Order: sequence, then structure tokens, then C-alpha cells
Amino acid sequence: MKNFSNSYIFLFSAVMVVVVAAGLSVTALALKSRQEKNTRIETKRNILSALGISSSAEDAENLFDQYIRRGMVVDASGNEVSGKEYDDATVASGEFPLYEAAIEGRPVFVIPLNGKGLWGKIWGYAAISEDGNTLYGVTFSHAGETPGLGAEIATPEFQAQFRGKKIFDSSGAFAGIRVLKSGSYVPDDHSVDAVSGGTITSNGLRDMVYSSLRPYVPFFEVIKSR
Amino acid sequence: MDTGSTKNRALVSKAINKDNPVVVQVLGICSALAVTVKLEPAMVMAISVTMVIACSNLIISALRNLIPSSIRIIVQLVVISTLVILVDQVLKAYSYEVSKQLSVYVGLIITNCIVMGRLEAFAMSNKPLPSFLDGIGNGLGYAWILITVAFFRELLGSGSLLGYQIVPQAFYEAGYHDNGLMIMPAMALILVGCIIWIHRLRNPELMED
Repeated sequence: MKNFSNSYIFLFSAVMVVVVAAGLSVTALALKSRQEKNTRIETKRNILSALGISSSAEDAENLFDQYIRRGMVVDASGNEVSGKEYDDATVASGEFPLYEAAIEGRPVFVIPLNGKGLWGKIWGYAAISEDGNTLYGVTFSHAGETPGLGAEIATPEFQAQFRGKKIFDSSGAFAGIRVLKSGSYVPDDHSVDAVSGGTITSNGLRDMVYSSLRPYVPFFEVIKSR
Repeated sequence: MDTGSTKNRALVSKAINKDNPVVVQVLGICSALAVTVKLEPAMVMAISVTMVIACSNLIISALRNLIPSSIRIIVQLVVISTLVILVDQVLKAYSYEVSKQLSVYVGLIITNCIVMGRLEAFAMSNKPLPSFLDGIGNGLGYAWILITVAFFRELLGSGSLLGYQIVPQAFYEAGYHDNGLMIMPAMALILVGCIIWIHRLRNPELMED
């Protein structure tokens, strides 16, 4: 192999970097709109799935428009902030976005959840019935939980357990949902059976449901008294 | 010309069988464990890796006389990572579901030892066409192992293939259970072990003492 001068090495590196950077930027720009569309559809499918509606990549946008009445924003005391949409850049801290859906004419509220599992982010949506207490349905996704263990939170079987559970305990205090291991699990209105072998993911899920729904408690009180 | 094409064919067949990157060179095991729970992601992973190896071999081989040897590893890495990012972007745009399932493993193709191994061992010292074929061969060698492992793991672990239910409902009613162990990464290692076992039985010259 030939010996190359230092200036050749620098020149080679510089040209390589420029060519690669240009190539990647062009690809990223060219594919951006398709990728964003995929993410948008994915979000809508998640929201629909929290409402118990299964959708495909093709019909998600139509179904979403059909079932979701509007996006809204509530403040810390549970009152709606007028004139703001779910995705508004103007949603300030202390203001919380949600969707209002209509299932068979009854309102259902879809609230975004964000938390962390064992390896990374977990997220999802919780649909709350008009009594402000009963879970109508949930959906969870994860970035990279262990397949077969923590990743089971994304299965319909696991998520079906949440349907009909209550987020306020019998004394009326906000309690979230307990995720209990098989040994200590007794079926009641407030707990679900955890994923075996996925303790940290299950705990992360419990914390996510609690902390993500917590700011909406005043809003739940408002709809409860309606 | 005739000897040339035989040689080229041997490049591909050798990598698939006697010099298989997974079962003989024992490279790329990590992703073989991670993406073989279901058949579909395994197939996409196999195609992606094959593309990356073949194209990076081709590019590096074409540039091999221009690359200063003092920075050759960096150049190889830049080429591999560029191709991997391209694959990742294309999957996100055209095969979103699968890209979600493969998640971080697409990015980890960069660290797949087979890719850099072939660049250093073959592409740096051979012409573009044989290098490209060597890449295809090694990619296919990796692919068939991945697909075989995924086939058994999905069939026995979930009772389905490519997401379609194969084991009939009547079996479950008669008391059949999917083997939950198949879903665990450890089972992939055991299956790869079984493949190595059978492969050695058929190729006794590969057996170590």
C-alpha cells in the first residue's frame, strides 16, 4: 500500500465528510414527509386503540376524524382553556392537553401518558369515561423493553386488564392503578396483574399512569360533578 | 473467464456454507439473538444486513487504492454508518411497522462484526465485483441462519409464521401450549448451537479437536 502525505489524508477526509453529509441530508429531506405521516398515523392508531377501536394504517385517519370530537387543553384547576388545540405550540406548563372522543354518543376523554421502563421510554394513552373515574381503555407502547418480558405491556391481552378499572380509591382519593405481581395480585377494581419477569417495566408503567393522570385530577372532578 | 465465474460462484457458496459468518466464524451472534423472535423482522434484518455488507464491500473495494491506510478503519466506519442510516431512513418511510419492531437493532448493524470483518479481510485487497459477491455471500450466510432460527422460534414460541396462526385452535383446546422459552434470547443461542451441531456433522473437516 502506498504512503500518502498528510495533506492528502486531510483532503480525503474532508471530501468524504462533505459527500456523506450531503448524501444523508438529501435522503433525510426526501423521506421526511413520508416518515412524519407514518408517525402521525401511528399516534392516531394508538389513540384509537385506547378507545378499543382497531385500525389499520389506511383507515386510521378517517376513523380518527369519525370518533375524536376535538382536542382540548385544561388548566391546573381543571377548567378548559378556551381557543387552544391539543397540539398547539402555545400549550404552556401548567396546562394539559387531551382529546374528547364520542363513543356511541357518550364522551370519553383520551389522555397522553409518558414514563420510563427498564431500557427506555414508555408511553401510551388512557381513555377515561365520562364519570371521570373508570378507565374506558388504555394503550401502551415502548421504545425497547425486553421482548417476551417488559415488551408484553404492548400486547392487547395485558392492556385489556385495565378496562373498567377505577383510578380513584373507595374513599375518593386519586390512586392510579396498581400493577401487582401474580403472587400478591387479587383481582379488584384498582389493580392489574403485572408482567411476570418485567418488574421494572411494570413499576415504571404504574408510575407513568399515576404521574401522567395526576395533573388531570381537577378536570376529572369537574366532569364528575357535571 | 470460465475459471473467473467459478471462483465468483465459490465466493458466494463458501460464505453460505463452509465459511459461514455465523456458524463457522461465529460473528454477528448478538443480532441473531435479538431479532429472531418473529420471522418478519428477521427477514427484514437479513435483507438489510446483506445490502449493507454488499454495498460497503463494493464501495470500499472501489476506493481501496485511494484510502490512506492510516485512516482506513475510520473510512470503513463512515461508509458502514452512512449505509445503515440510509437503510434506517428508508425503513422508517416505507416499512414503519417493521422498523418499530427492529427499533435499535437497525442502528446496531454498524457494530455487526461481519460487516467490518469482510471489509478488512476481503474488500481492502480485492476487486469490486468479487468484493460485492463476497458481501452478498456473507449476507446470505447470515440470512439463512437468522431465518431458520426465527422460523423455529416463531412457530414453537407463538404458534404462528409471519404473523399467521399455524398451530390450529383445536391443539390449544386439547391442552397444547406455546413454548414460552422460545421467546427468550437464550433459546436463540441454543438453536444456533443446534445448527452448528448439524452443520459440523455434515462437514466433519470443520470440527475442532
